[in-house]
Amino acid sequence: MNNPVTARRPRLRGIAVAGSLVVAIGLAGCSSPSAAAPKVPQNLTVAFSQETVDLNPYGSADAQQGLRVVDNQIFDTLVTQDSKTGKYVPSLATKWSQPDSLTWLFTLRKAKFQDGTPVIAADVVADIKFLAGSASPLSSLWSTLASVSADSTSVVRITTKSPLGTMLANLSLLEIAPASDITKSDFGTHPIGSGPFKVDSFTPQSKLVLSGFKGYWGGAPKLSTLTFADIPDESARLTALKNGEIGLDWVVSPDQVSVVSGTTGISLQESDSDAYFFLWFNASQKPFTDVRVRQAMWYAVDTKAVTKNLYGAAGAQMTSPVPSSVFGSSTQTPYAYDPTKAKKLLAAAGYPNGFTTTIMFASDSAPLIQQQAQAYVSYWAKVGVTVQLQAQPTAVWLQNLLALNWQTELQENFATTGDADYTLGRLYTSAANRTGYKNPKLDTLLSDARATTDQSKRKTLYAQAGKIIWDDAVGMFPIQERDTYAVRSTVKGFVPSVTRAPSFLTVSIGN
Amino acid sequence: MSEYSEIDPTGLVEAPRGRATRPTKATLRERRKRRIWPTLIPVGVFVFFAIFGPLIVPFNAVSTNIVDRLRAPGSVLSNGSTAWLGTDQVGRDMLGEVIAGARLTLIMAIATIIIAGIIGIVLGLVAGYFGGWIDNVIMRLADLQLAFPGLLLAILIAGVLGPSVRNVVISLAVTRWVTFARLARSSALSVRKLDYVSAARLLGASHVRLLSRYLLPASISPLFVLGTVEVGSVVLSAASLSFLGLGVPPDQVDWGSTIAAGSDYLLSAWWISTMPGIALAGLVLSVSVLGDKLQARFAAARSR
Repeated sequence: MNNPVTARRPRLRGIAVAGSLVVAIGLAGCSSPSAAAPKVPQNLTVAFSQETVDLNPYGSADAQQGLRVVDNQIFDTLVTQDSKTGKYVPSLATKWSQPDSLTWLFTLRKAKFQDGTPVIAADVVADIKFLAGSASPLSSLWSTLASVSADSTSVVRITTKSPLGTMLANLSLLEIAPASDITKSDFGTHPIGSGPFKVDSFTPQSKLVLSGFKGYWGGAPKLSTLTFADIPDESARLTALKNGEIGLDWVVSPDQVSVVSGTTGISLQESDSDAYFFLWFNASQKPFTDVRVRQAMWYAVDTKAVTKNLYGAAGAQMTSPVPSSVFGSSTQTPYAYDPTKAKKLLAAAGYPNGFTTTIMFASDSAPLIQQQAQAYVSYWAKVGVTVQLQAQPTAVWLQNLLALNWQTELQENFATTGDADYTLGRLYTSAANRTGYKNPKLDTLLSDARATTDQSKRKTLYAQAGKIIWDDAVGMFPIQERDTYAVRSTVKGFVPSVTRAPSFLTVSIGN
Repeated sequence: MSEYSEIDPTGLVEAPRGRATRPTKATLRERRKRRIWPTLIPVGVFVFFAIFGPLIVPFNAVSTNIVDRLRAPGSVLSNGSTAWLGTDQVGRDMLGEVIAGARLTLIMAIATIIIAGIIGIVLGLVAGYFGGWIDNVIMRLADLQLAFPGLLLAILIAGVLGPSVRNVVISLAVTRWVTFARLARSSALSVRKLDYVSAARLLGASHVRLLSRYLLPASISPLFVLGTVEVGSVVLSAASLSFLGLGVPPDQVDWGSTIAAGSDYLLSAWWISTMPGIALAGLVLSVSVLGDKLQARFAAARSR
């Protein structure tokens, strides 16, 4: 496709060259001409597939990808996970130690918040306390926290009630903000962090304008502004990319790859992803209180065919409740497509003629999510279960999700820390009560796995926990994804991220 | 509309017929132009398919076939059948989908017209017949409502009620009654002082009898024409609501929702949006041509 922007560029460059020649000739008499090329404005607008409703990293949306992606630019965490090795590396904390199995000491680097105040231990203490005591979906990660205090302005002491094997993973999700800021009412719209970009303006579900923070401890970002445009409609996003309105779009859904591939000036980058889909059954409501009903729902669906036909190369069938790349994943017995068995199980559970239920999902929240839901509904109809689609706006969906106000629920989820504790340990405990499913044995396994620092033992414990979740069909775990990013050739230095929250620190705009 | 007047803004009120004169060549040509049956054919085709189509091409909105998704028109599917209009993003046959959409779209449009028509006619006749403060209240209410763009109001109501066929009909009927009310009122105004109405009143006919037996019959033909003209715009409004996700729920299909679902695939699978789009344009066009003909016929009858 002939792109008007790229087509025009050489001509513009010609004019620029001619212009600089004129200037050069004019200046030749007074001083020696400089051959420096005209500087390209370092402004980048990007769009990704999810909506940002809020920026508060301790609020109800804090596990949402729409927030994690942008907060990753605004805030720093004490440690971050190296995407290549999976190891946790220093960020705001330069080093850490464990005097005993219940105590952690973190030493902070000299860094500044975007308002110029230094980052001190008291801020970190306040942030951890605030998150642990909040109603956020991430607070359950801190359930074993005993106390947190500041030894000096740069040393944070964290003690836990039992050993916490996931301390570093948890801290990689804890955005650090000034202690005085976190309780302010506008914290969700104008937060201050110590990250490479600061908030200029934010309109929820519309636009977030960030500008580069010159005083960033890791060096000033190359971009002067970074704008996140919220464009929920994928074809609109791809059009915006093609006409140069945005420089980067992720993730491109499998059906749309053919639309952009081969376009001049746009390249596609593929990346592993920690994104996957699950379909939960609300085990606190009939008929899903019965394990046979939940299993029947899974046997009734040909997840292999759905994966292959809808996602193709962008998806793989899951073998455990977490993606295979995540620490703690295991190989479970797959639920083979077997509608006869599904019918038998339904009959045994007292539903020989099926039943009527609903499937809730956030519209446009993930690639092909509605098509996937429709495919399931079609399969279930074949075993007599009538399922109505409930497509909801993200904010409404989130509210219903956390209130357990749904019967079945399909969503794209992220194993953000790369550790099974983040998904299994956070979502499936009786205390978290996210699915209505309660199993004391599973609770014990998950808390043991969290408390153990012996990694091979943790792996075994997660395999056992995964087996219970899988065999009891707390949910269906159909597809893990592979992501495609579409990048304009003017965007230099971009590297995709498995978490879908790439860093823009070293990204710049070239010709 | 050349014959705009205060009491009959649409120019549709039928005047008593004069005696026909011998037709000249010019009037014959005129009459041929006004012939209604050619324009009935396309409308009839749509109605036929809406009624019998689902029997000929069975379609189940819930049943997907993801193996055969996004197939181009004319493709042979895995079960050996041919998808003449292609398949959509979940592998449903577009031909069946367009026909099923025709049925739902027409049901919504006709139900809307009937409900809006009944409300509008009753209120309009009452306003025109009684006059005075009743007239003032009803017609100011109508004016108030006309101040809002119709679709905007429908979006508001549909948004509050939630997506379902019934709610589409409610929200569109609420925004459509005004046109009917104004027409019924103007016709009531023009008829109520005529001798035969006065005679009936002197004979002791009740208000209800006068309204239903004397005023209503006099306005029924222009109202019928108006109803026909309105079908087109109601079809368009219903499709707009569905396109915006406020119309039919996702497990039912009408043209608006199919067009919306296909908009993500405009560049890769153009047929998903295009097929129902053509059907929608065709229906709206043929209904409005029919409406124009009917209107011209009544206007001519009136001027004779």
